[in-house]
Amino acid sequence: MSLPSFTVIGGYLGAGKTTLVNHLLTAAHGMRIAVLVNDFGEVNVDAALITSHDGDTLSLANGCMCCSLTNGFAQAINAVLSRKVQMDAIVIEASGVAEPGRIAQYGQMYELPLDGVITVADAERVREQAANKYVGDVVLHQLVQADIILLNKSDCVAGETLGDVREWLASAAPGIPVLETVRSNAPLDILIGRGGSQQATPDVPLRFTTTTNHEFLHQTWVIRRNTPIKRAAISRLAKRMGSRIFRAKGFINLTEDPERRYLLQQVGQRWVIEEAGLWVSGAARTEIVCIGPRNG
Amino acid sequence: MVNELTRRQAVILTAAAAAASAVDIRHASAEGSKVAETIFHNGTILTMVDATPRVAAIAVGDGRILASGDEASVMALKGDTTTLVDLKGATLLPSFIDAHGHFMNAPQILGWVNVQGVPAGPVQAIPDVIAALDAYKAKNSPKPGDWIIGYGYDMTNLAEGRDMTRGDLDPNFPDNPVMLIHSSNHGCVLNSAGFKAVGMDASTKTPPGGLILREPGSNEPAGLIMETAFLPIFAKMPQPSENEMLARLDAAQQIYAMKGVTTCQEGATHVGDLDFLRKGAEKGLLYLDIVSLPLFVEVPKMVTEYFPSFSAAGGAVPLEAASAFGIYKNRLKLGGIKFACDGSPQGKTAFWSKPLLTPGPAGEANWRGQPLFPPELINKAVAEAVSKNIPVFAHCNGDAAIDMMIDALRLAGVKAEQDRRSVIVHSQFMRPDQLDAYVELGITPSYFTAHTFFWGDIHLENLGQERAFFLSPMKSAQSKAIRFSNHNDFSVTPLEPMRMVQTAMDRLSRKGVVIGPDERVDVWTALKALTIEAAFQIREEKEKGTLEPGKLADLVILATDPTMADVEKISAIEVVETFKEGKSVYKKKAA
Repeated sequence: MSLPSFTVIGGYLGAGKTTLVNHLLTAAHGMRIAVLVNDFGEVNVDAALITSHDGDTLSLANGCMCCSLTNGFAQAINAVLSRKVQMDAIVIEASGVAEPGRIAQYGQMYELPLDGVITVADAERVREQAANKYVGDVVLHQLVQADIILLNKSDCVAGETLGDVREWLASAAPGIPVLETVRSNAPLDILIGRGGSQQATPDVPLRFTTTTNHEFLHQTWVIRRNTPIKRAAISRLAKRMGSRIFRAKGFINLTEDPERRYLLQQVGQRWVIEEAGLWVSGAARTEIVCIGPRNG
Repeated sequence: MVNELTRRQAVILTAAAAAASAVDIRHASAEGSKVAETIFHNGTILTMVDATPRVAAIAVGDGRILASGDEASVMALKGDTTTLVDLKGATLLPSFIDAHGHFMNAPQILGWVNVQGVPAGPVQAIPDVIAALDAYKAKNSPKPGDWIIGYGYDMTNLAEGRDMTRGDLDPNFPDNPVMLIHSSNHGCVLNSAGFKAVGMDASTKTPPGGLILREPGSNEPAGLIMETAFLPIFAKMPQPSENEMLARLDAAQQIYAMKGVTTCQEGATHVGDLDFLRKGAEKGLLYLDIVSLPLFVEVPKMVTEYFPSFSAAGGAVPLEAASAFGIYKNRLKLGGIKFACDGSPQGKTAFWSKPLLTPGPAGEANWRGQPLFPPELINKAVAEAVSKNIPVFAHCNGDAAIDMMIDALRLAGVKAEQDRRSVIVHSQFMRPDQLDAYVELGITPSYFTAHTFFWGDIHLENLGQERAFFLSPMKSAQSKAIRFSNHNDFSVTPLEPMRMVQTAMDRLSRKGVVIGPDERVDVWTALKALTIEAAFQIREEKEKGTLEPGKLADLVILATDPTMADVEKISAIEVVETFKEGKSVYKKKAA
């Protein structure tokens, strides 16, 4: 049976992590997401959606669940993995002073594939927080450990200031793609890479469900190639895309092994290429769907 | 705030008046017809009162001290029913107050086998571990399949200089899974039955960030597993039932009583712990006093549980809850709210303002640790506690963590003259300038001088001489008239009041280095840190901590007078008998 993917949401106190978690739990995305949080009290789910509340676990009508980390990470993960119906994704909300890169290692204890580290930054306060004598180091670590940074509350700062913050981020966390958000309204396709290797089935084309959306500052595009590509060329492409995309995924027709298809999955600067079965006869061609900043 | 304070001061004044009148009554009765239940004499009696440090005799009745003074005046209270206790040269003093520790660890470890190194445990070599486990097996007769768990395992204590393997354990324990928990709590050694029970074998992959030692030339697990290989297994271990835990309360209290401690601290209480302790108290199972400090992150859950109609949003505490602090109910008292700003110095998870001289726990360069919580969160919760007049106890080891708490208390408007006695627990690696802030804010540190013995050499290596030597700076605090206690953070180090006295005096590391010669204190100061000063910090100095008429007869008899003993022999001084409110709660068996 396939294991759920593992996503870490990091970021300093007040950046908007819990708002993001609330979106993930309640948005109509059709995924079974288990969210692990430190504090139930902040999770704001409509009571009508809650089907059961059993101690440290909330179950929702849409198949999602929320688990408290009160008794530790291992207990919470056990509660999720022991479910009859396997969850698609586990998302952990790291505490405000946790290093998300470290939390990401926790998932590996259970061999959960790491889907991404998302760090939420408060556009208004992140620079001040990064200079704080107590937490400055931690705030900077949270940023550089991210695959994707959500620059949240971008509506709360003037355009000029936002430019300054972007510039500052580019030097504090170089090469990490940044998505500006308001009330943590990042699209699910950026937050969670659906259809990971374990879920890939040969006959269903992988697609992002959103297309360019004027509400958000991102767009999707497709890289297609009918002739086989060398593995080294794919790696170069992925490296080059790094800071300019949030995510990319698709099947690759490799010169080195034209009989089989390979799956590329990329989040920010991190990517994996895995073998994914034989091509359906005549279907061998490279098609990588990318999602990145608009004008990125 | 002003109103609150006035109200609190009124309460304190009323309490003080009541206490004062109680003393008066007892004085009157002492002069009148009151007959002592017990009189102690013919030994050394240390009152812990500066003006009259030694008396010849004390009289006890109704759980309190009736009189203290010369033989003749105390003997005036002797009647036909009085028991005369001949100390035969032994030393009587106020029993000890655990200034900081974790009572809930006591019933937990009672189900486990102590495989710590000497002196915390019996282990110097692998056969000592086997012997300790054998003794447990002989005493408890576990059924096949029942776990036998040892705690405090550490290769560095073994003369063999290697980690234990399943081969060491299997001959004596073929049918019981054995787990020896590593002293770091981040790993363990398992025997073959143990590996079978947790489903780990040659086919188990080593997870990233973990370690599974393999047998030479094969993929079979050898015994030791650490970190990410261990933590998921440990989380699934069977836990003792509530009834099993309640049944252990007597033995748990004996851990304290046999060392002369009659007031214990549960210094980081979770909501489940509080439920358990309340149950134990209501069933009348407590005969020692327990001071519980609910952990601040658990307070909203406790408020929700005990005050369901109150909205605990944002960490607010209802006034009714605040008034539950400071009062014993069936020997259980809520003493204050416990905060935590950092981790431990020996684990390099404390929070310093300047980097260590050695790499961080994961090999980080320029490592100075990290705070455990954002300062905004701490500041808000401290302000709430202060505004409700709930005492603040804060775990801070590194100087940056201490700065965080100083900031929080200052922001909450705390001043020395308010007499709040905010306790910074450990105050381990202070900077000298922070002592002035303690004076300004009326902060009282609880120090941890046993660190000089257990980890002094490591601190010297990690921090250098200047910082390591200022560890638990008792003498400097004393020179600024700061009141302080001493603790051993049971079960981080074993409960050993006499080692606390010795380490406060000699500050000697295992390698024989004096960790801060200028911070050594005299024996009287070292003893006060376990008695009257510890009582002051929990606001019980009118009831405990000295031998004065009117106070509780919480007493300990020591075989040797620590004020006369050679310093290096103080740790070994034995407890002869311990009394809680006049009743014997521990008596050393005659040899």
